[in-house]
Amino acid sequence: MAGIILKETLRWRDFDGLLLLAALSLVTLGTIEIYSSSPSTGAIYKDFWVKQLIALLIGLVAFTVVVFVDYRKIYNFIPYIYGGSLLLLVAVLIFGHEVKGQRNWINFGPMSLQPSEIAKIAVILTLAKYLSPLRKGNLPWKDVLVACAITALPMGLIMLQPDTGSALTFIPVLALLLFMSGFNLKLIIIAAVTAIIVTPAAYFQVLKPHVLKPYQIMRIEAVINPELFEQVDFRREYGYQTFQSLIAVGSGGLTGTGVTKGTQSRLGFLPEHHTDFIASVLAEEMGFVGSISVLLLYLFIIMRSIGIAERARDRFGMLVILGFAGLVFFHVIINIGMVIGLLPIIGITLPLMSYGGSSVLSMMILIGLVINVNLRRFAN
Amino acid sequence: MSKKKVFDDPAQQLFKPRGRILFFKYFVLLFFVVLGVRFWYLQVVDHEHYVKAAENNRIREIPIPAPRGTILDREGKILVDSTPTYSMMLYLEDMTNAEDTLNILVSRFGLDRNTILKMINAPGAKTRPLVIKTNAAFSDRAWIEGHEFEHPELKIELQPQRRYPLGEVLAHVVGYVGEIGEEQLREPAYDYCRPGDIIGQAGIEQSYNKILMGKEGYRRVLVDSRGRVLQQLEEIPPIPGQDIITAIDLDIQMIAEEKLSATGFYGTAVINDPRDGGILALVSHPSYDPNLFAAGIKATDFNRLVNHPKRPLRNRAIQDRYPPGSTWKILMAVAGLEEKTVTDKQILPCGGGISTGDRFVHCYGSHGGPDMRRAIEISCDGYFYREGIKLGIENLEKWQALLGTGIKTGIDLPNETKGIVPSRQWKRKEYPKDPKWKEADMVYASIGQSGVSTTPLQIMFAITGIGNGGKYYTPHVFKEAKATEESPAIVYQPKVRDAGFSQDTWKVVSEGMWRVVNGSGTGRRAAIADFDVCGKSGTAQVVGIQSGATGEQKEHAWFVGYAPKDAPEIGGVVLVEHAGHGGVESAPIIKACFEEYLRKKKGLPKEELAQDATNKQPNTSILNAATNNTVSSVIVSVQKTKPASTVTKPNLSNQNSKPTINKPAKPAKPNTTKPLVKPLVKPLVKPLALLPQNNRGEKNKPQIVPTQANLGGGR
Repeated sequence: MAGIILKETLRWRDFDGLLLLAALSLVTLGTIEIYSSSPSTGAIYKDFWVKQLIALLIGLVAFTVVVFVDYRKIYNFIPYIYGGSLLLLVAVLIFGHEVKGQRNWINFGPMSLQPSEIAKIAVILTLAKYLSPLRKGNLPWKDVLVACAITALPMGLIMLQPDTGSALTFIPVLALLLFMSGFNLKLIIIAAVTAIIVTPAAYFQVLKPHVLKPYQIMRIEAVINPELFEQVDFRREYGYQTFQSLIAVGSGGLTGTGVTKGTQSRLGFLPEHHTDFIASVLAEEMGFVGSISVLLLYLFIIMRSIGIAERARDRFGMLVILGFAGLVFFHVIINIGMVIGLLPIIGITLPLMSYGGSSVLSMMILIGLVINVNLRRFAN
Repeated sequence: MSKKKVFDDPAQQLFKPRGRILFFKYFVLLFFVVLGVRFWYLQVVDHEHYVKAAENNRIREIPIPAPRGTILDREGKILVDSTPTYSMMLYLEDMTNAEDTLNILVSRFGLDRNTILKMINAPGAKTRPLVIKTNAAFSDRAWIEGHEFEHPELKIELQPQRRYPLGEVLAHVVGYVGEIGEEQLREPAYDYCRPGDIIGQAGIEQSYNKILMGKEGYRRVLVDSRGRVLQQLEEIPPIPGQDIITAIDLDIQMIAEEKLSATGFYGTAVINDPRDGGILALVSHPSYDPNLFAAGIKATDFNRLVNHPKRPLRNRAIQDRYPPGSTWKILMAVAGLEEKTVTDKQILPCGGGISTGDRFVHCYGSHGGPDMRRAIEISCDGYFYREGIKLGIENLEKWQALLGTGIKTGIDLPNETKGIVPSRQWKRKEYPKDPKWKEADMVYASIGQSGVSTTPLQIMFAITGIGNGGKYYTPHVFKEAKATEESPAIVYQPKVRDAGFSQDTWKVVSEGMWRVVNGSGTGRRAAIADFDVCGKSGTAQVVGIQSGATGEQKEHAWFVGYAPKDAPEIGGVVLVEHAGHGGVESAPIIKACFEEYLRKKKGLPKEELAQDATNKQPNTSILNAATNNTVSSVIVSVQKTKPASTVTKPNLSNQNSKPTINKPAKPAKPNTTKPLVKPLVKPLVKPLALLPQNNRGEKNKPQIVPTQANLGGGR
């Protein structure tokens, strides 16, 4: 019985085409809005949307390669991948191309690479590899510390660029994988309950009066009290970007203004409209229908991935996929939360949709890994 | 950990934390639901709100100021107009870094930080861009236009600014403009105004603001996030304000200004047309330059004007009260004749004064026993003491209102003051220690003291109304608002009231006043041949001060008059502060104004009236000479015109001796023909600074019981 199953190493009907389709749909929607919101540069190969499509093509090639290589073979190369990504992170600090005081990119001729995106894959793989053997009882503290160190090393390097937004994305991945590897549940519950009780008290008793600067307080309170945005002064000083994003989203209405008709992005009111605020552009031009479709596509990708993780043939595969799901989930919540004024502005992109070749490439590789694991769930 | 060990241990590899995965699923779902609900609220529930916000974001309304109507004199000469000036504007919507902008305004353009902050926080800032600097210099304009990209919040715009070409002349009549105040915004009278509007704050500018102001237009433009205009969507042109033609006659005004200045004292003069109440001239000295206000007055300038002891901002003709002195006797006469407490032929003794209570109140002379006409002519105090006692305070109270004092005349200039005419009640209120109305009070009240206190305009209104046979035309400056494309013309309709006294009374009193000027009276300096000037002088006590005093202590000189006697065409009042006798100082001013009126009525060129009145000095008008080339031909031409001319009488011998005759000869009387071009502002400046502080006090509260010496000093 078992023998028969083991012989069937690769079943193409297990290729999750819907997952790929959802991802491609998001890239397409993102590219449309990049096209819509960014003025043409005149030279077509320099336009953002064209560059995004080129990145997608490269991403699809990488995806194909990843799908065909058994993920268990990748397993042995993980230390090299991790080491290589650390080298890239060091290199970017030295050779990086500085934009607005940050060194996030290494230029390769006409293209540029963002090593922090590659580091995300490396960290997920390394953590999955380290945590995959099942421990007895709760996850030992020693392993927790090692996992933290694995994450902290690239995080620290990224902080040096400095790119706090990208660095932050590693924490939820680490937390989720620790959680899935048997981290003491009691501790988690105690920590959660304490946090719920302590956070407001700490905010009002300690942080607000003593620690935070006025503008930070304003930004936090604007989330709780959106009426603050109605005050012109407040908007001008503390919440201009959030306010403009809210206007873009709200003025979209049910069906939106139509592609290339959104004034908020086209007239330059929306900041960073092709990267961090691509969701605002979409919400303005495609309305509630568009926003909900995007949310559903992300939800589908995350849920579908979790489902594949549950059915994976081994814990390594499961952890890789959960790491991916956690990463996407965190990005989407933070980015969209920021766009709709629920969270303060942090420079975190919307995966698959925001302009950025490295991000698209790393996402396609990760999706390739998910499909890879699903393809080989009955394999030897 | 080898690959084999990890992937082939089924116990390890098949373990899945299903509970924790399920928890993660719900966790994800919960967050997505929150996001979805938020999208629903933003995009469906509050959609309209954000659509408006988006509109505000990208559409700006740039106001186009309506040109304010010009103010003209009755002949169309410009009194006030507007001139385009470059203004520096601040668009708050486009200001991204307030601190940065403020620093530039302070360091680069030398503006005051607090003033700008005040403007930014004013209600006007919510509706329109701020005018932060008027009359921007070329370098300012160049800088702002050069930094359009970095500082889109600063713009240069052409804005009309009010211009007062006459400077201090007529300042109290035309007034000035300024930004609407917060209290004014709450008044129903200004319900058509918005914060930041420039409105009239004094004079005609204030009274007829609605007509002059017009309605602002605007340009709706599409802007990008930096406030740069991308495209104009629509333009609503402004509705210009209507031009106003006033009753003012600038020629007469200039004469009055000049004559009053020439006295070297402060004071006021008003000339009117008794036939409809139109104000031909109104002078109040010291004056101020309304141009200071037009450019947005500096706090230092404003404080200097407000705190100046001589209060140049006040229109003395309508806002300040003075005891009317002997001019009041005319009203006493009318009241007495109408109440039949005296007849015109009745002789009342002068007696050199009257004994009342415990004292003797002097007349300034000893006039035997005059009848009413004579008493008016010589201004006999003793007669009117007795006439007043016969009349009684109740009758005086009744008639003063009928004759137009003690009430507002209703002139169409803001902030007119009521006069004060004493009554029993008034005495109780003002003098609680001595509340009873006594005979002595009546004696003083009869000669325009004892609490009687009127504005110069009220005295003119009263006396010219009496001269007009009781027909009281409400004084007015406004004559007509010219029609524009949007608004029809508005023509002033004279308002008349009949005081209701008899023709006989009029006859007696006007004959008395005629004799003041043309008989042996005190107003002979106002006489004009063949014009039957009537009038009355007054020399009003400055409160509590001895007669014959000097400087600040000297009496106010009144003269009020009209002409001609039987059908008045022109009337006027002059009050010169601390100048002494009215007949001396004030009557000539009235005369000069009336002469100017006559000159214009007869259509004569400027200098000729003097000759007409003073037996024809040699004169050759420029009109005659201008067409001729040689001296001889000029003479011929003058000779030729001689029979045709009714006015000029060329003196040939004089012309022969002086070949440069195309220059009009200087008339003999210098005081009537001083060149008008001489700036009138000059004489005002010096005395304003030099004179000591006025001690007349705010309310001009009269002294009810003057000492004997200060009333009857003239004996």
